Amino acid sequence: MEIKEAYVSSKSKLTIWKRGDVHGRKVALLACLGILCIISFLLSVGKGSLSLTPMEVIKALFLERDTVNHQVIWNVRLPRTLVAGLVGICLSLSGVILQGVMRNPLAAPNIIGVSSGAGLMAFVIMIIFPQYFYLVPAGAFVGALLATLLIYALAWKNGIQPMRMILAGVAVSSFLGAGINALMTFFPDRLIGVVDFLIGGLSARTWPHFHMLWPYALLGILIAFFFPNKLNILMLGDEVATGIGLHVEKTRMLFIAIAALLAGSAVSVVGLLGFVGLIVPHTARLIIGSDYRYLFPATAILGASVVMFCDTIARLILDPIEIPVGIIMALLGGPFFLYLLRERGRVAQ
Amino acid sequence: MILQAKNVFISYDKKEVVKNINIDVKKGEIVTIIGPNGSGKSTILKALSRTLKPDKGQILLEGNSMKHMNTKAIAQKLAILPQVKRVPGDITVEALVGYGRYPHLGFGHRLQKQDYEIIDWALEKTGLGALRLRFVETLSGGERQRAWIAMALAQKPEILLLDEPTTFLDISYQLETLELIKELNQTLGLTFVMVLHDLNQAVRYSHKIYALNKGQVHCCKESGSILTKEFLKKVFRIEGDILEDVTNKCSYFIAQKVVQ
Repeated sequence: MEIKEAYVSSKSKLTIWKRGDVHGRKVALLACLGILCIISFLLSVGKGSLSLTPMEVIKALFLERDTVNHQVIWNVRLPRTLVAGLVGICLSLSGVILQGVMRNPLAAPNIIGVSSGAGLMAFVIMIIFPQYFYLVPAGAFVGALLATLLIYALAWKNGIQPMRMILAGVAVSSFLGAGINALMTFFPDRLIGVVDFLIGGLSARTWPHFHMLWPYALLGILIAFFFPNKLNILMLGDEVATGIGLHVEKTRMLFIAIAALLAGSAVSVVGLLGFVGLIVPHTARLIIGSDYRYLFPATAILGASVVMFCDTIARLILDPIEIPVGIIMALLGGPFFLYLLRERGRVAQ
Repeated sequence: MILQAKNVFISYDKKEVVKNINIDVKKGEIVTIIGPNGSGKSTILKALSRTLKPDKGQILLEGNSMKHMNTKAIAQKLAILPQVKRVPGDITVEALVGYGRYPHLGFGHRLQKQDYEIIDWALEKTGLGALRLRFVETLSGGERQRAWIAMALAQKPEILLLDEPTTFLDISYQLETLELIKELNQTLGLTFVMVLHDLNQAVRYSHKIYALNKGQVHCCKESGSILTKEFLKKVFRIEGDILEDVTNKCSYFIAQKVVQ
C-alpha cells in the first residue's frame, strides 16, 4: 500500500504495475513452497506403519485423547516431524547466511568447522566415555562452537577476509577430521551407533530434542525477518557496504556466530547431516533469486519441507527398517539440484 | 574544509605506502588525486573513505575525526564508489539505488515514502529512469557506472569519493561519467574527490589536483597550472609536449618518450 502511494508522484504507471508484479510473483512462489511444506508435514505425520489420512491426523491431534492414533501421533510422529522441520530450518538458514557472508557458493556449515568440531567432540564422548552418552548433544554443540571460534581466531588479521576464513576452515577441519579418523581406527569395536551420527538420522527423536532446537530456530527466523538487508548489502562487497554505513566486521561476526549456533544446534540433535546446508540454499536461490528478503523465508520453508519429506521416505521405503535420512536426501536432492542448475543456472552466480 | 587528511601514514605488511600525507578538500570542489602506479593514490583514497585505517594521522570530516564518528552518520555525508564492485545477477537498478538509503533507515530497514521519492530523484539525475527495472548486470559499462553513482546520490551525501571511476570503460563511457560528475558538481554543489589515471582528464575536469609520488604529495595545484615539462619528468618519468585545448580552455599534454 505504502509503495503504491509513493508512486502516485511517479510518472509511469507501468512501473507500479511491474514492481508489484515482481513482488507478487515472489510472494506466490513463497506460498507454493508453504503449501509444499504443509503437504510434507501431513505426509510425515500421517504415513508409516500406521497410515492415516490428513483428516484422521487432524482429528487424532486435536479431538481425540486416549486412542491409539492419538498416542502414536502425539508421542512419536509429531515430535519427530517437528524436529525434522526445525533441523531443516536451522541447517539451511545457516548455509544461506554463510554463502552470503563468505560470498562463496560453496560455503556451508562445515566450512566454519561445525561438522568437524561437533563430530570430534561427539566421537570422543561416544567412544572414550560411552557412559556419558547422554552428553553427546551438548558436547557436539560445544564442539561446533569451539571449532568456529578457533577458525575465526586463526583467520583474524585486521579483520576477517572471507577467503582466509574459508582456508582456515579447511585446515582446522582436516586437523579435527584426523582426530575423528584416529578414534575410529583405534576403537573399531565401539563404532556401533557412531555411524548413525556420521550420516545423520532422525530415528527416535522426540519432544526433548524438539525443546533443544526450537529456541535456535526461532533466533534464526527472527534474524531472517529483521536483517535481510544487511546481508543484501554485504553481498555488494566490503567497500560498498562500508560506504553505505554498514559495520562490515561487526555484521560479519554476528552472522557467523548465528550460523554457528544454528548449525551447531541442529548437528547436536541429528548428527552430521551434510546436504541440507549446501544444496537447499542454492535450490531456493534458483527458485526465488538472491534478494535475502525473499531468499531467507524460501530457504527456511524449503529446508523444513525437504527434511520432513525425506525423513518420511527414509521411514517408509524399506519398512520396517529405517534408513538414515542423510542418505535419502543426497540420493533425491543431488539429481534434482543438478536439474535446476542446468535449467536455470544463470541466477546462481 | 569539508574533508581533510592530516599527517597520514599507512603501511601494508610493514611497507610504508603513504608517508605523511596532508589533503584538504573544500566544499564544492572537484579534487583529483593522480600519480604513477604504486604512488599510494588509491590507498589514501581508501583512508579518506574509511575502508582502510591509517597507522598514524587523522581523517577529519567537517573537522571531526572519522574514527570517533558513527559509520552511518558518516554515510549520510560521504558516499564512496570503489573501483571493484560486486552485484548479484538478479538485482535491478532501482533495488541497487535503494540500498543507498540504508544509512537513513530505521530498525528493520524498510523504505518509506520519502525514500522512494529520493530514489526517483537519484534515477532522474543520472538519466536512468527508463532503465530502473533492468538488471544491473545487463547494463552497458557506462550505464552501470551511472547506476552506482545513483546509489551514492541516494545517500544524499555532500561529498563523493570515487576510485578510478573511468577504469574499465570505453572512451565514450569515460566522458559520459566525467560529464555527469561535472554536472552534479555544478547543479547540486556536490564535492568530489577522485583518483584518475588519465592526466588530461584530471586537468580538464577538476578544480584542484594532488600529485602523489612514492607515497608523498609531490605538489598540489589548481588544475590550470599543474602541467609543466618539469612536472611530467619528475612525477611520471616522461617527456611530453604541453598544448592548449581551446574548446575546453585547459592545457593538455602528449607523451613523447620515457625518461630513463
